[in-house]
Amino acid sequence: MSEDSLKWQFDVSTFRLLGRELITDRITALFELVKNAYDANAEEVFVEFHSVGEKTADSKIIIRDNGTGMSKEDIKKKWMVIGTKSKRTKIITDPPYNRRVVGEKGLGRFAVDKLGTELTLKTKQKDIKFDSYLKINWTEYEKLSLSEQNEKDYYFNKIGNKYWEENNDSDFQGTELIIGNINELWDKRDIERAYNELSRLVSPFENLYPPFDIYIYSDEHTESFNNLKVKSQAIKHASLQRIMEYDMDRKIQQVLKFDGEELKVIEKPISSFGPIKFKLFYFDQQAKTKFRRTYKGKMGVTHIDGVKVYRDGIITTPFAEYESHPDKQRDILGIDKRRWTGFWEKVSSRDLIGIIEIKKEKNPGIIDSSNRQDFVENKEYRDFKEFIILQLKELEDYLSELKKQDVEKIDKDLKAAKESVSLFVKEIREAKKQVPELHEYLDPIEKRAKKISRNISQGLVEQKRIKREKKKQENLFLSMMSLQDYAYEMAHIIRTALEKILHKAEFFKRNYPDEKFKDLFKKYSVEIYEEVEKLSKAVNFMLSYAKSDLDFEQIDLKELIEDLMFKAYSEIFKHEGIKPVVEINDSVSIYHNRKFLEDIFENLISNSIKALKNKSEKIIKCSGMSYSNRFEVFFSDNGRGIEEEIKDNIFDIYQTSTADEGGAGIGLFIVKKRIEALKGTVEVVNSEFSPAGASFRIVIPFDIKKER
Amino acid sequence: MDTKKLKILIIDDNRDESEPLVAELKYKHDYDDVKVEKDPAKALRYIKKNFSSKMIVILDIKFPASFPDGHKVLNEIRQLSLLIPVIIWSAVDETREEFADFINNHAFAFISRPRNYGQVIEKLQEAEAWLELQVATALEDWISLHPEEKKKKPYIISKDGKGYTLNDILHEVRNRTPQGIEFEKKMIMLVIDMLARSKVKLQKESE
Repeated sequence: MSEDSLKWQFDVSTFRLLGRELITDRITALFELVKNAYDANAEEVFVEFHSVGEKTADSKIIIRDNGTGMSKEDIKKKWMVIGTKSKRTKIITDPPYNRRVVGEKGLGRFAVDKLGTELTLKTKQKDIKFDSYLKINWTEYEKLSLSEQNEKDYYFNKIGNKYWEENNDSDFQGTELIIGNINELWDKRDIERAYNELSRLVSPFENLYPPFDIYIYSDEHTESFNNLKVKSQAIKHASLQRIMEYDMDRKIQQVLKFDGEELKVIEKPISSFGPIKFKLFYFDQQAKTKFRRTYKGKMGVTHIDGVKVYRDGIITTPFAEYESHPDKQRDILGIDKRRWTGFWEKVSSRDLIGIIEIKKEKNPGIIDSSNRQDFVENKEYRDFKEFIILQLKELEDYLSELKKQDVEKIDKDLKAAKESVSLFVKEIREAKKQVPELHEYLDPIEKRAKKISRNISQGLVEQKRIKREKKKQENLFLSMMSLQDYAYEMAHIIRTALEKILHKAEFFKRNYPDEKFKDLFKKYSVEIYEEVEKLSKAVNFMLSYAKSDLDFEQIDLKELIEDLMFKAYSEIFKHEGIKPVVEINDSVSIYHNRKFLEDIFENLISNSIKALKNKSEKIIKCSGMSYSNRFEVFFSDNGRGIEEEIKDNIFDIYQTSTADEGGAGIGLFIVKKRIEALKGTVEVVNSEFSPAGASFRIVIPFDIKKER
Repeated sequence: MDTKKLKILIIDDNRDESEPLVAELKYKHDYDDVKVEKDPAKALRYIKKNFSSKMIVILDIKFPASFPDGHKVLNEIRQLSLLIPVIIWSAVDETREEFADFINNHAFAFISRPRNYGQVIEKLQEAEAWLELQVATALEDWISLHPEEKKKKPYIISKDGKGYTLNDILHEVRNRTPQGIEFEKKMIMLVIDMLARSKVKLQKESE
């Protein structure tokens, strides 16, 4: 009987497969190697391209730095050990650099493999008196393992790699990676791309001291790349910029807030993901053109490509690669994926540059995922994403207001133009009166002026029409979205009602005309009829959404609210166990569109139903008071209530949490928009059912202009 | 063998006694009792009180906020006995609901809603047949023939010196404990042995 001790072997292809997962493209490979130089406290890194335009025996890529270098032990125990992310022993490099380590341990060799299959590693530490050399050739392994399959074991962990030393008395330190037998060719554009990508490595605002400079050399393009220092351009020509910083002592984070007039920077407590610096640059059409013109053909350009995150001054991996093809662009912050984009002036990644600076120590919850293409999905990261979206929302509100003002200005200008043309016509008439001989001369001028006046009038009418159209579209859209909410609730009701009908009809099918069940047959017939009636009512209510939205009529608000609470929603309330309460003494009559007003209360009800899930004694209460110039409504429920942090944004957020419970999740947004269209206000006030629940106070003024 | 009749328990907050299903079960079948209980806690108490009866449960998953949901109720029932088939009948969204614990807690069947209740009755009959097949059920039937005081007296002394009353045996068998499985095995071996030695016959010989 044989006894043995068997060892694991490694095939080189497995190793290379692993690498392919970790380093997906050559730019990321360059990034990793440059990051390693940063971690080695280098002040200079040279990325050299030699004869890479054509595949020759001399084609090489050299990355050399003046960092601390490696000893033989380092090479043996670190470079030559295959491992995935191993624990870092050092998080900060030695002083005076004190750099937060950014490279991932163990990726260097994979990065090299991505660029070429031959490596000569040359390294020296300061106080060592020789250069250490290591030569690795992947293709050799592959050749060996293929040809000598049955003879010897050519597993690559068995094969020795040549190591040798050569005298060097100097104080030089650093590591040089000479990569030969390159995998891909690099033309001038590729090298420019490498330059552009590397220029994104360091935050444009962080002044690294001691310095970390990257230089690019290409022997085939020395006119451009003769140890050209990689610099990122300053961000110029933005039409709007804001900087949000933080204060650790006072524990506050600056955020954006549109207050109706300006886009201000206000203070809030620091969020769950820690304090961040956020520099936001927005480019309108004009600014974009200026930007493109200024930076055309220049390198180190920051494209207008959305928000990027830098950690400790170095870009975080998901943002490393610039993808020029818009379809392939990775939008991991979800800026361009937001719902209802296309309406209400949402900004996209192509309208702004955002530089967010985080620190490993201050923002430990934001973690690169292991595939390095995203961040780990945890609470902090979700809050982080939401924070960014919220800032963009404030920006969007501001831009919306500016646009509105622009439109109003055009209106004003047109009216002023009309005025001055009228004046002009008047003056011509005067002139004709004063100097009758000029009649012939002035007549055609007057005619033309009148024509211009007519054109301007037409323009004004057209403006009004476009505004109306847009409003109509918005209304329909909003109606559709509240329909989603309603549809979800009704689906439950319909399902239950259908089942009741089904079972009773089934009973007939199975047992009719069994005398034993005579009474039950009678009972069930009635019940089937009643259920069908209920269903019919529900369907009619849904159909009312499909009707045109434009009819105006005199509407009694009390009647409208009571109809909703006691009739339209009675089935849903019964099913949910909700008690509706309406306390409106004297009502008010409004000349408006019924669906428009119903939408407001439907969405409030919908929102309350969601908040009341998982509560036992459910109440929805609507009370109203009439005053001389306004009608005030208080809408309350004793449900989950509104968290302090989102109280200010409750009408704006499209939270995914409410989307889980069905519906579009923008009910309150609709409420606010509708009420504002009535020139009214809505706000969150102290809950009537304190400490539970939530209350909304709605004010509708009486002098509502007819919406035409 | 059918010494005791079956009790049917429907645990669902949306059903009541006037339902077609309940009407059929009550008047077209010969069950000992058909009960609808809206409160899961009360339902569990009912099961415990009627532990010596044969029972099949029809269970909903969603209950109002303050009540335990179907998952918990099934779990509770299983703690009591492995011999109560539970048919889950619910309108939940099957793409979002957890099913692992239903399987692990040996739910007998799952019927989604809305469906015709005839399917439920079919499953009930399957569950009934399944119950009959359980040796444990046979044991139950046999043990139930004994008067109460006898059930509490030690009946068997096991290998490790522990004494088991008939009630104990019933408990062990219902819960598939190692001891319970032992008893069951012994019973089966005994019957096979008796059949082999012609001490008993499976059915009367045709005259």
